Amino acid sequence: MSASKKEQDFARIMVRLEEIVTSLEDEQLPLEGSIELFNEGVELAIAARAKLEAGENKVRRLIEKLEGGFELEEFTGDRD
Amino acid sequence: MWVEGEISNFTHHRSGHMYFSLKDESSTLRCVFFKQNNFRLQFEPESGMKVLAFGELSVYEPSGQYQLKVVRLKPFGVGELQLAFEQLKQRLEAEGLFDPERKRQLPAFPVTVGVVTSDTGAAVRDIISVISRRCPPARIVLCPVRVQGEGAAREIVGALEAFGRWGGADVLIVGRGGGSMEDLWAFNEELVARAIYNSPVPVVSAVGHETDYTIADLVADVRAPTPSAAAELVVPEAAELAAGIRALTGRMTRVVRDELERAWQQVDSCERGLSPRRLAARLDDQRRSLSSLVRMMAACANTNLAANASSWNSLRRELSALNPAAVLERGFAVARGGDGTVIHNAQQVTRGQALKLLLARGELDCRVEKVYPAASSPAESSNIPPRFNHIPHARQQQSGRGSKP
Repeated sequence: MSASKKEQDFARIMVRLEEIVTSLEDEQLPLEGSIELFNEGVELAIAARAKLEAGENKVRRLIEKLEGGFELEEFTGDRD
Repeated sequence: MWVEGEISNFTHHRSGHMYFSLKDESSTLRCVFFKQNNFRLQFEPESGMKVLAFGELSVYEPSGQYQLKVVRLKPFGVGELQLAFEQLKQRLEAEGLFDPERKRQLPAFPVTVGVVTSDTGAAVRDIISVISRRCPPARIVLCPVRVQGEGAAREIVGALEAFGRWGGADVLIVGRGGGSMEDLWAFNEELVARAIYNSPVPVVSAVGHETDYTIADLVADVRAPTPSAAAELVVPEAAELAAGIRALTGRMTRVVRDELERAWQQVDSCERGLSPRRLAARLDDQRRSLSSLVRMMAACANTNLAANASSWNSLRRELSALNPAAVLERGFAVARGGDGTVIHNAQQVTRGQALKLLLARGELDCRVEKVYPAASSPAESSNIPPRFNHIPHARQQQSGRGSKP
Protein backbone atom coordinates (compact mmCIF):
# COMPACT_ATOMS: atom_id res chain seq x y z
CA MET A 1 0.00 0.00 0.00
CA SER A 2 2.57 2.48 1.11
CA ALA A 3 4.66 1.96 -2.00
CA SER A 4 1.72 2.75 -4.25
CA LYS A 5 1.04 5.87 -2.29
CA LYS A 6 4.63 7.03 -2.68
CA GLU A 7 4.44 6.48 -6.40
CA GLN A 8 1.42 8.72 -6.58
CA ASP A 9 3.17 11.31 -4.51
CA PHE A 10 5.96 11.68 -7.00
CA ALA A 11 3.56 11.63 -9.93
CA ARG A 12 1.36 14.21 -8.25
CA ILE A 13 4.34 16.44 -7.51
CA MET A 14 5.42 16.36 -11.14
CA VAL A 15 1.91 17.03 -12.44
CA ARG A 16 1.45 19.97 -10.08
CA LEU A 17 4.89 21.36 -10.91
CA GLU A 18 4.08 21.33 -14.61
CA GLU A 19 0.73 22.96 -13.93
CA ILE A 20 2.44 25.72 -11.99
CA VAL A 21 4.96 26.42 -14.73
CA THR A 22 2.21 26.51 -17.34
CA SER A 23 0.04 28.91 -15.38
CA LEU A 24 3.02 31.13 -14.62
CA GLU A 25 3.87 31.26 -18.29
CA ASP A 26 0.42 31.43 -19.82
CA GLU A 27 -1.80 33.27 -17.38
CA GLN A 28 -1.55 36.92 -16.55
CA LEU A 29 -1.40 36.51 -12.79
CA PRO A 30 -0.93 39.39 -10.38
CA LEU A 31 2.62 39.44 -9.03
CA GLU A 32 1.44 38.26 -5.61
CA GLY A 33 -0.10 35.19 -7.19
CA SER A 34 2.97 34.49 -9.29
CA ILE A 35 5.21 34.61 -6.27
CA GLU A 36 2.92 32.33 -4.35
CA LEU A 37 3.00 29.83 -7.22
CA PHE A 38 6.74 30.20 -7.56
CA ASN A 39 7.09 29.42 -3.88
CA GLU A 40 4.99 26.34 -4.20
CA GLY A 41 6.86 25.29 -7.33
CA VAL A 42 10.27 25.58 -5.75
CA GLU A 43 9.05 23.62 -2.76
CA LEU A 44 7.75 20.86 -5.05
CA ALA A 45 10.99 20.81 -7.03
CA ILE A 46 12.92 20.35 -3.80
CA ALA A 47 10.62 17.52 -2.72
CA ALA A 48 10.92 15.83 -6.12
CA ARG A 49 14.72 16.06 -6.06
CA ALA A 50 14.78 14.60 -2.59
CA LYS A 51 12.75 11.63 -3.79
CA LEU A 52 15.02 11.10 -6.76
CA GLU A 53 18.08 11.06 -4.57
CA ALA A 54 16.61 8.98 -1.79
CA GLY A 55 16.83 5.53 -3.34
CA GLU A 56 19.30 2.84 -2.53
CA ASN A 57 17.94 0.35 -5.05
CA LYS A 58 17.86 -2.69 -2.79
CA VAL A 59 16.45 -5.87 -4.20
CA ARG A 60 13.96 -7.60 -1.95
CA ARG A 61 12.15 -10.85 -2.06
CA LEU A 62 8.41 -11.03 -1.47
CA ILE A 63 7.47 -13.64 1.09
CA GLU A 64 3.90 -14.50 1.94
CA LYS A 65 3.67 -15.64 5.52
CA LEU A 66 1.72 -18.76 6.42
CA GLU A 67 -0.33 -16.87 8.97
CA GLY A 68 -1.17 -14.31 6.31
CA GLY A 69 0.46 -11.02 5.46
CA PHE A 70 3.71 -10.38 3.66
CA GLU A 71 7.27 -9.58 4.45
CA LEU A 72 10.22 -8.43 2.40
CA GLU A 73 13.54 -10.16 2.79
CA GLU A 74 16.77 -8.89 1.38
CA PHE A 75 17.58 -10.67 -1.85
CA THR A 76 21.24 -11.43 -2.27
CA GLY A 77 21.23 -14.40 -4.64
CA ASP A 78 22.78 -14.21 -8.04
CA ARG A 79 23.71 -10.59 -8.27
CA ASP A 80 26.96 -9.61 -9.87
CA MET B 1 -1.30 -49.55 -32.15
CA TRP B 2 -1.32 -46.17 -33.87
CA VAL B 3 -4.36 -45.21 -35.92
CA GLU B 4 -4.52 -42.26 -38.27
CA GLY B 5 -7.80 -40.62 -39.17
CA GLU B 6 -10.13 -37.68 -39.01
CA ILE B 7 -12.17 -37.04 -35.88
CA SER B 8 -15.94 -37.00 -36.18
CA ASN B 9 -18.83 -36.83 -33.70
CA PHE B 10 -16.51 -35.55 -30.99
CA THR B 11 -18.01 -35.12 -27.53
CA HIS B 12 -16.27 -34.18 -24.33
CA HIS B 13 -18.56 -35.67 -21.72
CA ARG B 14 -19.22 -34.05 -18.37
CA SER B 15 -17.49 -37.00 -16.73
CA GLY B 16 -14.24 -35.83 -18.43
CA HIS B 17 -14.13 -38.74 -20.89
CA MET B 18 -13.96 -38.04 -24.59
CA TYR B 19 -15.88 -40.00 -27.23
CA PHE B 20 -15.37 -39.75 -30.98
CA SER B 21 -14.95 -41.71 -34.18
CA LEU B 22 -11.92 -41.86 -36.43
CA LYS B 23 -12.70 -41.98 -40.12
CA ASP B 24 -10.96 -42.33 -43.42
CA GLU B 25 -12.55 -42.57 -46.88
CA SER B 26 -13.81 -46.10 -46.37
CA SER B 27 -14.00 -46.92 -42.68
CA THR B 28 -14.94 -45.76 -39.18
CA LEU B 29 -13.58 -46.72 -35.77
CA ARG B 30 -15.19 -45.70 -32.49
CA CYS B 31 -12.81 -44.35 -29.87
CA VAL B 32 -12.95 -43.60 -26.19
CA PHE B 33 -10.36 -41.40 -24.46
CA PHE B 34 -10.76 -41.68 -20.71
CA LYS B 35 -10.25 -38.78 -18.38
CA GLN B 36 -7.25 -40.33 -16.65
CA ASN B 37 -5.52 -40.43 -20.04
CA ASN B 38 -6.76 -37.24 -21.68
CA PHE B 39 -6.05 -34.74 -18.91
CA ARG B 40 -2.53 -34.18 -20.21
CA LEU B 41 -3.75 -33.18 -23.62
CA GLN B 42 -2.42 -29.74 -24.56
CA PHE B 43 -4.89 -29.09 -27.38
CA GLU B 44 -8.63 -29.51 -27.63
CA PRO B 45 -9.66 -32.19 -30.16
CA GLU B 46 -12.51 -31.25 -32.45
CA SER B 47 -14.45 -32.81 -35.30
CA GLY B 48 -12.69 -32.57 -38.64
CA MET B 49 -9.20 -32.58 -37.11
CA LYS B 50 -6.63 -35.04 -38.50
CA VAL B 51 -5.00 -36.96 -35.66
CA LEU B 52 -2.83 -39.91 -34.72
CA ALA B 53 -4.28 -41.97 -31.90
CA PHE B 54 -2.37 -44.56 -29.92
CA GLY B 55 -4.25 -47.20 -27.91
CA GLU B 56 -5.52 -50.70 -27.77
CA LEU B 57 -8.47 -52.28 -29.46
CA SER B 58 -11.24 -53.59 -27.25
CA VAL B 59 -14.86 -54.63 -27.53
CA TYR B 60 -17.63 -52.49 -26.12
CA GLU B 61 -19.65 -55.31 -24.69
CA PRO B 62 -23.16 -53.85 -24.47
CA SER B 63 -23.24 -53.39 -28.25
CA GLY B 64 -20.55 -55.79 -29.30
CA GLN B 65 -18.70 -53.08 -31.22
CA TYR B 66 -14.96 -52.71 -31.54
CA GLN B 67 -13.51 -49.54 -30.09
CA LEU B 68 -10.09 -48.02 -29.63
CA LYS B 69 -9.19 -47.18 -26.03
CA VAL B 70 -6.98 -44.17 -26.68
CA VAL B 71 -4.09 -43.36 -24.36
CA ARG B 72 -2.25 -40.82 -26.50
CA LEU B 73 -3.54 -38.42 -29.13
CA LYS B 74 -1.47 -36.18 -31.41
CA PRO B 75 -2.47 -33.78 -34.11
CA PHE B 76 -1.42 -34.98 -37.54
CA GLY B 77 0.70 -32.68 -39.69
CA VAL B 78 1.14 -29.84 -37.18
CA GLY B 79 3.06 -29.76 -33.91
CA GLU B 80 0.99 -30.47 -30.86
CA LEU B 81 2.18 -27.32 -29.08
CA GLN B 82 1.69 -25.20 -32.16
CA LEU B 83 -1.89 -26.40 -32.40
CA ALA B 84 -2.50 -25.85 -28.71
CA PHE B 85 -1.10 -22.33 -29.02
CA GLU B 86 -3.36 -21.48 -31.96
CA GLN B 87 -6.43 -22.89 -30.26
CA LEU B 88 -5.89 -21.08 -26.99
CA LYS B 89 -5.04 -17.88 -28.81
CA GLN B 90 -8.29 -18.04 -30.77
CA ARG B 91 -10.35 -18.81 -27.72
CA LEU B 92 -8.91 -16.08 -25.52
CA GLU B 93 -9.06 -13.60 -28.34
CA ALA B 94 -12.76 -14.34 -28.82
CA GLU B 95 -13.22 -13.85 -25.09
CA GLY B 96 -11.64 -10.42 -25.30
CA LEU B 97 -8.51 -11.06 -23.23
CA PHE B 98 -6.28 -9.36 -25.80
CA ASP B 99 -8.48 -6.31 -26.39
CA PRO B 100 -6.36 -3.20 -26.82
CA GLU B 101 -8.97 -1.11 -24.95
CA ARG B 102 -8.46 -3.01 -21.76
CA LYS B 103 -4.68 -2.65 -21.71
CA ARG B 104 -3.62 -0.44 -18.86
CA GLN B 105 -1.08 2.32 -18.99
CA LEU B 106 2.09 1.76 -17.04
CA PRO B 107 2.68 4.16 -14.17
CA ALA B 108 4.99 7.00 -15.15
CA PHE B 109 6.95 6.94 -11.89
CA PRO B 110 6.86 3.50 -10.29
CA VAL B 111 8.43 3.27 -6.86
CA THR B 112 8.25 -0.50 -6.63
CA VAL B 113 8.75 -2.90 -9.52
CA GLY B 114 7.58 -6.47 -8.91
CA VAL B 115 9.45 -9.18 -10.81
CA VAL B 116 8.17 -12.69 -11.47
CA THR B 117 10.93 -14.87 -12.89
CA SER B 118 13.55 -17.37 -11.89
CA ASP B 119 15.99 -16.10 -9.26
CA THR B 120 18.85 -17.66 -11.19
CA GLY B 121 19.67 -16.96 -14.80
CA ALA B 122 20.15 -14.03 -17.06
CA ALA B 123 16.66 -12.54 -16.93
CA VAL B 124 16.71 -11.53 -13.28
CA ARG B 125 20.29 -10.24 -13.55
CA ASP B 126 19.45 -8.14 -16.58
CA ILE B 127 16.36 -6.66 -14.98
CA ILE B 128 18.16 -5.78 -11.75
CA SER B 129 21.13 -4.23 -13.51
CA VAL B 130 19.06 -2.11 -15.90
CA ILE B 131 16.79 -0.78 -13.16
CA SER B 132 19.71 -0.04 -10.83
CA ARG B 133 21.46 1.91 -13.54
CA ARG B 134 18.48 3.85 -14.83
CA CYS B 135 16.55 4.60 -11.70
CA PRO B 136 18.32 4.15 -8.36
CA PRO B 137 15.29 5.19 -6.29
CA ALA B 138 13.13 2.38 -7.69
CA ARG B 139 12.72 -0.62 -5.44
CA ILE B 140 12.79 -4.11 -6.89
CA VAL B 141 10.74 -6.84 -5.27
CA LEU B 142 11.27 -10.31 -6.63
CA CYS B 143 8.97 -13.27 -6.30
CA PRO B 144 11.12 -16.14 -7.59
CA VAL B 145 9.44 -18.93 -9.56
CA ARG B 146 10.41 -21.82 -11.76
CA VAL B 147 9.86 -20.75 -15.35
CA GLN B 148 9.89 -24.11 -17.07
CA GLY B 149 8.98 -27.71 -16.44
CA GLU B 150 6.23 -29.32 -14.44
CA GLY B 151 4.48 -26.90 -12.10
CA ALA B 152 6.08 -23.73 -13.55
CA ALA B 153 2.75 -22.28 -14.69
CA ARG B 154 1.25 -22.78 -11.21
CA GLU B 155 4.18 -21.00 -9.59
CA ILE B 156 3.94 -18.09 -11.99
CA VAL B 157 0.23 -17.79 -11.25
CA GLY B 158 0.91 -18.01 -7.51
CA ALA B 159 3.44 -15.17 -7.73
CA LEU B 160 1.12 -12.95 -9.76
CA GLU B 161 -1.67 -13.53 -7.27
CA ALA B 162 0.65 -12.87 -4.33
CA PHE B 163 1.62 -9.50 -5.84
CA GLY B 164 -2.06 -8.79 -6.33
CA ARG B 165 -2.83 -9.49 -2.67
CA TRP B 166 0.23 -7.61 -1.43
CA GLY B 167 -0.65 -4.44 -3.31
CA GLY B 168 2.76 -2.85 -2.87
CA ALA B 169 4.04 -3.06 -6.44
CA ASP B 170 3.26 -0.38 -8.99
CA VAL B 171 4.05 -2.52 -12.01
CA LEU B 172 5.04 -6.16 -12.62
CA ILE B 173 7.54 -7.73 -14.99
CA VAL B 174 6.79 -11.38 -15.81
CA GLY B 175 9.14 -13.37 -17.96
CA ARG B 176 12.27 -15.37 -18.57
CA GLY B 177 15.22 -15.57 -20.94
CA GLY B 178 15.21 -17.35 -24.29
CA GLY B 179 14.61 -21.05 -24.91
CA SER B 180 12.80 -23.55 -27.09
CA MET B 181 9.04 -23.48 -27.51
CA GLU B 182 8.85 -26.24 -24.88
CA ASP B 183 10.98 -24.17 -22.48
CA LEU B 184 8.71 -21.16 -22.89
CA TRP B 185 5.57 -23.23 -22.68
CA ALA B 186 4.47 -22.12 -19.21
CA PHE B 187 3.87 -18.66 -20.71
CA ASN B 188 1.44 -20.20 -23.21
CA GLU B 189 -0.75 -21.78 -20.60
CA GLU B 190 -4.25 -20.63 -20.04
CA LEU B 191 -3.99 -20.24 -16.29
CA VAL B 192 -0.99 -17.92 -16.68
CA ALA B 193 -2.86 -15.89 -19.27
CA ARG B 194 -5.84 -15.54 -16.93
CA ALA B 195 -3.67 -14.61 -13.96
CA ILE B 196 -2.07 -11.83 -16.04
CA TYR B 197 -5.51 -10.72 -17.18
CA ASN B 198 -6.80 -10.63 -13.62
CA SER B 199 -3.77 -8.94 -12.08
CA PRO B 200 -4.75 -5.69 -10.36
CA VAL B 201 -1.23 -4.41 -11.09
CA PRO B 202 -0.27 -3.61 -14.71
CA VAL B 203 1.88 -6.37 -16.21
CA VAL B 204 4.77 -6.19 -18.66
CA SER B 205 5.63 -9.52 -20.27
CA ALA B 206 9.20 -10.31 -21.22
CA VAL B 207 9.50 -13.83 -22.54
CA GLY B 208 12.51 -15.09 -24.46
CA HIS B 209 13.88 -13.15 -27.39
CA GLU B 210 12.42 -10.57 -29.70
CA THR B 211 11.03 -13.24 -32.07
CA ASP B 212 9.22 -15.28 -29.42
CA TYR B 213 5.53 -14.51 -29.08
CA THR B 214 3.60 -16.18 -26.29
CA ILE B 215 0.03 -16.00 -25.04
CA ALA B 216 1.38 -14.12 -22.01
CA ASP B 217 2.70 -11.45 -24.40
CA LEU B 218 -0.71 -11.09 -26.00
CA VAL B 219 -2.60 -10.67 -22.76
CA ALA B 220 -0.07 -8.49 -20.91
CA ASP B 221 -0.64 -4.74 -20.75
CA VAL B 222 2.67 -4.21 -22.52
CA ARG B 223 4.89 -6.73 -24.26
CA ALA B 224 8.62 -6.19 -24.00
CA PRO B 225 10.85 -8.07 -26.45
CA THR B 226 13.35 -9.09 -23.75
CA PRO B 227 13.74 -8.84 -19.96
CA SER B 228 16.23 -5.94 -20.25
CA ALA B 229 13.83 -4.10 -22.53
CA ALA B 230 11.07 -4.63 -19.96
CA ALA B 231 13.24 -3.03 -17.28
CA GLU B 232 13.86 -0.02 -19.53
CA LEU B 233 10.17 0.28 -20.22
CA VAL B 234 8.99 0.30 -16.63
CA VAL B 235 11.34 2.81 -15.00
CA PRO B 236 12.17 6.31 -16.19
CA GLU B 237 15.77 7.46 -16.32
CA ALA B 238 16.38 9.29 -13.03
CA ALA B 239 18.94 11.62 -14.62
CA GLU B 240 16.35 12.69 -17.19
CA LEU B 241 13.80 13.37 -14.49
CA ALA B 242 16.29 15.52 -12.60
CA ALA B 243 17.04 17.46 -15.77
CA GLY B 244 13.32 17.91 -16.33
CA ILE B 245 12.89 19.34 -12.84
CA ARG B 246 15.82 21.72 -13.43
CA ALA B 247 14.23 22.90 -16.66
CA LEU B 248 10.88 23.54 -14.96
CA THR B 249 12.57 25.48 -12.15
CA GLY B 250 14.42 27.54 -14.72
CA ARG B 251 11.19 28.43 -16.48
CA MET B 252 9.52 29.49 -13.22
CA THR B 253 12.49 31.61 -12.31
CA ARG B 254 12.47 33.40 -15.63
CA VAL B 255 8.78 34.27 -15.37
CA VAL B 256 9.02 35.57 -11.82
CA ARG B 257 12.18 37.57 -12.51
CA ASP B 258 10.55 39.22 -15.50
CA GLU B 259 7.43 40.03 -13.52
CA LEU B 260 9.47 41.54 -10.71
CA GLU B 261 11.30 43.59 -13.28
CA ARG B 262 8.01 44.93 -14.61
CA ALA B 263 6.74 45.69 -11.11
CA TRP B 264 9.90 47.65 -10.40
CA GLN B 265 9.45 49.68 -13.53
CA GLN B 266 6.03 50.70 -12.19
CA VAL B 267 7.59 51.62 -8.89
CA ASP B 268 10.28 53.60 -10.70
CA SER B 269 7.75 55.62 -12.60
CA CYS B 270 6.11 56.65 -9.32
CA GLU B 271 9.40 57.27 -7.66
CA ARG B 272 10.28 59.88 -10.21
CA GLY B 273 7.65 62.02 -8.51
CA LEU B 274 9.17 61.48 -5.06
CA SER B 275 12.62 61.58 -6.52
CA PRO B 276 15.18 61.94 -3.70
CA ARG B 277 18.35 60.20 -4.74
CA ARG B 278 18.69 58.43 -1.43
CA LEU B 279 15.42 56.57 -2.03
CA ALA B 280 16.35 55.62 -5.57
CA ALA B 281 19.57 54.04 -4.34
CA ARG B 282 17.73 52.15 -1.66
CA LEU B 283 15.22 50.81 -4.13
CA ASP B 284 17.96 49.76 -6.53
CA ASP B 285 19.48 47.83 -3.71
CA GLN B 286 16.23 46.07 -3.02
CA ARG B 287 15.68 45.26 -6.64
CA ARG B 288 19.06 43.55 -6.75
CA SER B 289 18.40 41.54 -3.62
CA LEU B 290 15.00 40.49 -4.96
CA SER B 291 16.50 39.17 -8.15
CA SER B 292 19.18 37.34 -6.31
CA LEU B 293 16.58 35.90 -3.94
CA VAL B 294 14.66 34.44 -6.83
CA ARG B 295 17.87 32.99 -8.21
CA MET B 296 18.86 31.56 -4.84
CA MET B 297 15.50 29.91 -4.43
CA ALA B 298 15.76 28.31 -7.83
CA ALA B 299 19.24 27.09 -7.03
CA CYS B 300 17.84 25.71 -3.82
CA ALA B 301 15.43 23.57 -5.82
CA ASN B 302 18.14 22.29 -8.10
CA THR B 303 20.64 21.32 -5.47
CA ASN B 304 18.26 19.52 -3.18
CA LEU B 305 18.35 21.52 -0.01
CA ALA B 306 16.04 19.20 1.86
CA ALA B 307 18.56 19.13 4.69
CA ASN B 308 18.69 22.90 4.63
CA ALA B 309 15.00 23.64 4.93
CA SER B 310 15.40 26.57 7.29
CA SER B 311 17.45 28.63 4.88
CA TRP B 312 14.88 27.92 2.19
CA ASN B 313 12.13 29.13 4.50
CA SER B 314 13.89 32.36 5.32
CA LEU B 315 14.48 32.98 1.61
CA ARG B 316 10.81 32.52 1.05
CA ARG B 317 9.81 34.91 3.80
CA GLU B 318 12.12 37.58 2.46
CA LEU B 319 10.79 37.23 -1.03
CA SER B 320 7.22 37.85 -0.01
CA ALA B 321 8.16 40.75 2.26
CA LEU B 322 10.13 42.47 -0.48
CA ASN B 323 7.47 42.17 -3.09
CA PRO B 324 6.84 45.74 -4.33
CA ALA B 325 3.34 44.96 -5.45
CA ALA B 326 2.29 43.80 -2.01
CA VAL B 327 1.11 47.22 -0.93
CA LEU B 328 -0.95 47.88 -4.01
CA GLU B 329 -2.32 44.34 -3.80
CA ARG B 330 -3.75 45.17 -0.41
CA GLY B 331 -5.94 47.80 -2.05
CA PHE B 332 -3.88 50.97 -1.79
CA ALA B 333 -3.46 53.25 -4.77
CA VAL B 334 -0.93 55.89 -5.73
CA ALA B 335 -2.39 59.21 -6.89
CA ARG B 336 -0.37 61.37 -9.26
CA GLY B 337 -0.99 64.71 -10.84
CA GLY B 338 -0.73 65.40 -14.55
CA ASP B 339 3.02 66.03 -14.30
CA GLY B 340 3.57 62.75 -12.45
CA THR B 341 3.94 64.32 -9.00
CA VAL B 342 2.73 61.99 -6.27
CA ILE B 343 -0.13 63.58 -4.37
CA HIS B 344 0.27 63.52 -0.58
CA ASN B 345 -2.02 66.34 0.41
CA ALA B 346 -5.51 67.24 -0.75
CA GLN B 347 -4.41 70.85 -0.98
CA GLN B 348 -2.01 69.93 -3.81
CA VAL B 349 -5.03 69.67 -6.13
CA THR B 350 -7.99 71.78 -7.12
CA ARG B 351 -11.52 70.89 -8.12
CA GLY B 352 -11.74 69.61 -11.69
CA GLN B 353 -8.07 68.66 -11.90
CA ALA B 354 -7.12 65.40 -13.64
CA LEU B 355 -5.36 62.72 -11.60
CA LYS B 356 -3.86 59.34 -12.40
CA LEU B 357 -4.44 56.47 -9.94
CA LEU B 358 -1.95 53.58 -10.01
CA LEU B 359 -3.56 50.33 -8.83
CA ALA B 360 -2.14 46.85 -8.33
CA ARG B 361 -3.21 46.17 -11.88
CA GLY B 362 -3.64 49.03 -14.26
CA GLU B 363 -4.15 52.77 -13.89
CA LEU B 364 -7.17 55.08 -13.80
CA ASP B 365 -7.60 58.59 -15.16
CA CYS B 366 -9.77 60.52 -12.67
CA ARG B 367 -11.09 63.98 -12.13
CA VAL B 368 -11.39 65.68 -8.73
CA GLU B 369 -15.02 66.37 -7.76
CA LYS B 370 -14.42 67.98 -4.42
CA VAL B 371 -11.44 68.77 -2.23
CA TYR B 372 -11.54 68.16 1.53
CA PRO B 373 -8.49 69.84 3.00
CA ALA B 374 -6.64 68.02 5.78
CA ALA B 375 -7.84 70.44 8.43
CA SER B 376 -11.42 69.18 8.04
CA SER B 377 -10.34 65.52 8.04
CA PRO B 378 -9.46 63.59 11.22
CA ALA B 379 -6.36 62.07 9.63
CA GLU B 380 -3.06 63.87 9.39
CA SER B 381 -1.97 64.34 5.84
CA SER B 382 1.33 62.59 6.50
CA ASN B 383 -0.58 59.48 7.60
CA ILE B 384 -2.62 59.08 4.49
CA PRO B 385 -1.89 55.58 3.24
CA PRO B 386 -0.48 55.84 -0.29
CA ARG B 387 3.07 56.35 0.87
CA PHE B 388 4.75 53.96 -1.40
CA ASN B 389 8.23 54.03 -0.06
CA HIS B 390 7.93 52.90 3.51
CA ILE B 391 7.02 49.25 2.87
CA PRO B 392 10.16 48.02 1.16
CA HIS B 393 12.15 50.38 3.30
CA ALA B 394 11.18 48.65 6.53
CA ARG B 395 12.58 45.38 5.21
CA GLN B 396 15.68 46.72 3.69
CA GLN B 397 17.97 46.25 6.63
CA GLN B 398 17.60 42.45 6.76
CA SER B 399 17.32 41.73 3.09
CA GLY B 400 19.57 39.46 1.09
CA ARG B 401 23.06 39.06 2.34
CA GLY B 402 22.40 38.56 6.06
CA SER B 403 20.88 35.14 5.49
CA LYS B 404 22.58 33.58 2.56
CA PRO B 405 22.81 29.81 3.01
